[in-house]
Amino acid sequence: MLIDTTTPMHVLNECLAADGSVKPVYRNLMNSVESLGVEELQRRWSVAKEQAALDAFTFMLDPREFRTVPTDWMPRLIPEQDWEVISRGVAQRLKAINRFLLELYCGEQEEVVPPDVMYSCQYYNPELQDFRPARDVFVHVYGIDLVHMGEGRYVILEDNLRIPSGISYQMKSTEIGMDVLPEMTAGYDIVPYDIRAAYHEMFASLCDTPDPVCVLLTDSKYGSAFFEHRYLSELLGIPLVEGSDLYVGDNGRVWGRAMDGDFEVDLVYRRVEDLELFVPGLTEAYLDHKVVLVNAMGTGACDDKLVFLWVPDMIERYLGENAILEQAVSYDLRLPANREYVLQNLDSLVLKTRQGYGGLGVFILPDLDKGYRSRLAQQLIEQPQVFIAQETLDFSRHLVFDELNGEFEERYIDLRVFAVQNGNGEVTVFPGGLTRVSEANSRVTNNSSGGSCKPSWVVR
Amino acid sequence: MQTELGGPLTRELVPVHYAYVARYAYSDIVVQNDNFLRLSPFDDRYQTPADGCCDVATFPAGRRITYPDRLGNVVNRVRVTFPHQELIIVATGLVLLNERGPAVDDAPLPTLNYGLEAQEFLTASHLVDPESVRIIAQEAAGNATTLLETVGSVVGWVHENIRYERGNTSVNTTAADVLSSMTGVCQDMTHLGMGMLRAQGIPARYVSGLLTHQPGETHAWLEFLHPTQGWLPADPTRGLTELNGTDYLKFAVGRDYSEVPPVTGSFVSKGEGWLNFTTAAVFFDRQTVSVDDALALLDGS
Repeated sequence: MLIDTTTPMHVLNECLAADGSVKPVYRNLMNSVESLGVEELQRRWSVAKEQAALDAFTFMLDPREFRTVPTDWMPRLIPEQDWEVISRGVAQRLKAINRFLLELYCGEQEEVVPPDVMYSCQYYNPELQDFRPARDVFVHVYGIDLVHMGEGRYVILEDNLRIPSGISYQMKSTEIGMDVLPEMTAGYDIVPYDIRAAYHEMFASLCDTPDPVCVLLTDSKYGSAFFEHRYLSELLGIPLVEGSDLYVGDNGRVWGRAMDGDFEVDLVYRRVEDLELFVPGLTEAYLDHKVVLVNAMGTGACDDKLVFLWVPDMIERYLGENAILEQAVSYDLRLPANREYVLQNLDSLVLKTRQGYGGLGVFILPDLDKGYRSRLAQQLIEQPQVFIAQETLDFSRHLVFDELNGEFEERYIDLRVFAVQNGNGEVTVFPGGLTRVSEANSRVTNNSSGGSCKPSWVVR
Repeated sequence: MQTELGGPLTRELVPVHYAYVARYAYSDIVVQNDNFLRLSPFDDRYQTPADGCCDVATFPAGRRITYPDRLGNVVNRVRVTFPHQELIIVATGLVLLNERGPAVDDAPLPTLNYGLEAQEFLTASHLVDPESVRIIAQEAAGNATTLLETVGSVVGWVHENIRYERGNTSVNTTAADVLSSMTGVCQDMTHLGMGMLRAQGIPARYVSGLLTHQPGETHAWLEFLHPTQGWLPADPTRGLTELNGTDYLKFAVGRDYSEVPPVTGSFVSKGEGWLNFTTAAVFFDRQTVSVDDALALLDGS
C-alpha cells in the first residue's frame, strides 16, 4: 500500500476520512495512484518536472536562478456541490466590493468603512474621486484565498484585487498534470472552463470598439510572475509589452510602439502596480477615459487587510444579502478591547500587516517561538495600527508526493479562486482554482513564501 | 485663497492667523507623491479653528481627501501625480486661541483611575517606552503624591536636566536615547517627559504645533490625562505646566511623534528626497493670510 490508510493521519485531510478510509470522491484517484506504484510515480514526476522546465513554468524569486514552480501533480478534487457554494459566494463578494468602490470614489461611501481606516489606506487613490471606470467596473480580475474547514465549509482569508496572480498556474499545472498522468482523470467528469473566452468577452464589453486593441503590460522578464504574463499573453493573443513599449501620444491616447508603425491601444491589462513609473502619463490618459485599465486603478483599497473586516457589511448594504461564504474572524486593533484580547491570546492568533501581500507580513503566532512572539507583542503594543489579528484556523491538509523518498506526506493547502467581471456586470468564476501547498511544518501557502501548487479539479 | 475673520469674538478668544511652508527636494523626477498632512488646527477647549478658513495646498497641486483620524486630528491627504522634482506644501488659516485654560483641580495619585481607552497612552509606543525610563521617573517624581505634583516634578526634571541641543537627535530618537545622551530638542524632551509620566501611571500623549511667539519651526509639547478634566497640556522644553493659551497653536496629537509628523508620506521615484526648507509664521494683527503669504516665507531660504 502506497498510502497507509490504517492509521488516521489527520482529521482534516482532503482525501482521507477520520478513520483513515479514502473519501468517496477520491477513490478512483487513489486507485490510479496505487496501480501506478512508487517507481512509476517517481518517473512521471520527473517527466512532469522536465516539461515544466522546458515550458519555463517558473516563479522566480531571484532573477538569477531558474526555478520552476514546485508542483505536486496529484490533483485536488472539489465536489461539484462544494463548488456551487464557493462560486456563488465569490461572485457575491466581487459584486459587493465593486459596488463599494463605486460608492467610495464616485458616490457616498456612507461610512461602511470608518474614514480613518479607508483614507489612511496606502492604496486608496485620492485622484480617483469622481472618476467612473468604464462600464462601472473596478474589479475585473479577482483572486480570493479560501481554506477548507471540512464538510464543505470554506472560509475566506484574503481578497486580492490589485493584480491577483496565479491563474496561469491553475491552467498550466492541470495541463501538465493531465498530460503526464492521464490515468488520474480516469472515472472523473471534470468541469471545464474557458478563460480565453471569458477574458475576450470582458475586454470587448469594456471598450467602445467591437474589436479592441489590448496589450498585457509586464514589469519585465526578470519579474517573478513573468511566466504568467507570457502565458496569458499567448493564451489571449494580445501583445506582451514592457513600459517602454507604450507611450501617451499627443492625442492623449496610449500608443504601442511597433516596427511597422505605432498603434493606438484601447485596453491595458496591466500586471504592474506603479503605472507612472512604467508609462508616464498613463494615469492622466486613464482619468480622461482614453484607455481602459484591467484591473482598474483604486481596487487596492479593498486589498487592505483591515478593510477586509467590513466586506460582510458591504454585502449587506449593497446587495441586501447575507454573505454566502464566511470569513476568518478578524480583530480591528484600533479598538482597545480588541488589543487587550489579542495580547491575552497571542498563542492562538495570526497577525497580519495591513498592507502585506504574498504571505509577507503574516505571522502565525502558535507556530513561532516564544522570543519571536514577544517581540511581535511589543511591536503590537507600539504600533497596533499596522496590524490586524485573525483567529488561527486548523484548515485542511492534502497528500503530497515526496518523490525523493517515494512517500506521501501531509501538507496544509488553501485555495485561490479566480473570477472575472465583464462590462455587463456578469461574473465568471473559473472552476477549481489554484491549490497552494505549504512547506512542511508551516501553514503559509503563498508562492512568494516558498509554497508549491497543486492542480485543482471540480468533479461531477 | 483668502481667509477672513468671521463672527463676533468673545473677549478671551484671540484671533491668530498662521502660515506654514515646507519644501521637499528630490534627486530625480517624482511621478507620484502621496502625503498625509497634519497641519490643521485641532478643535478643543483651548482653540477653535475658524470655519472654512483653514486650508492646505501643494505645488504642484494634487488631489485631496480630508478626514478625521481616530484621535480627532484633521488629516489632509494629498496625492500629486504630476511629475516634479520639488514639492511645496503650505498650510494657512485662522484659529481662535483661548487665553485662559480651565481651572484645574488636583487629584491624589492613588485614586487615579483610567478606563481602557487610556491604556494606549500608558503603554509603550514606537518611540516612548515607559519601561526604559521608569527608574528616572521615580527619582524625578520623588515624594509627589498628586497628579499635578507629579507632572510638575517630571516636567521640571526634564527642563533642568536635558540640555537643548540640535543635531544630536533625529525623528527616530527614542525617550531612552534622550535619557542616555541627556540632550535633545523639543520633540525629544516631550518624548522623555511622556515616558516618565506613563511610567508613573499617568497617560501622556504628544502634541505637535507652533509656539505662537516663536513660530519659525514646529514645536512639540505633551498632554497628560486628568481623570475628570480630560487632556491638559504641559511643556517640558520650557519647563511649564501652566500654559498661556495664546502661546500655543495645536495641530495634532498622537501616542508619539511617529504617529503625527506634520508631513508624512511616500513617493515614487528612482531618486531620493529630503526636506529642503521649512518655516512658519503667526500673525496677531492681520485680517487675512493667503497662500502667497506662506510662499513668501520661502524667500528667506
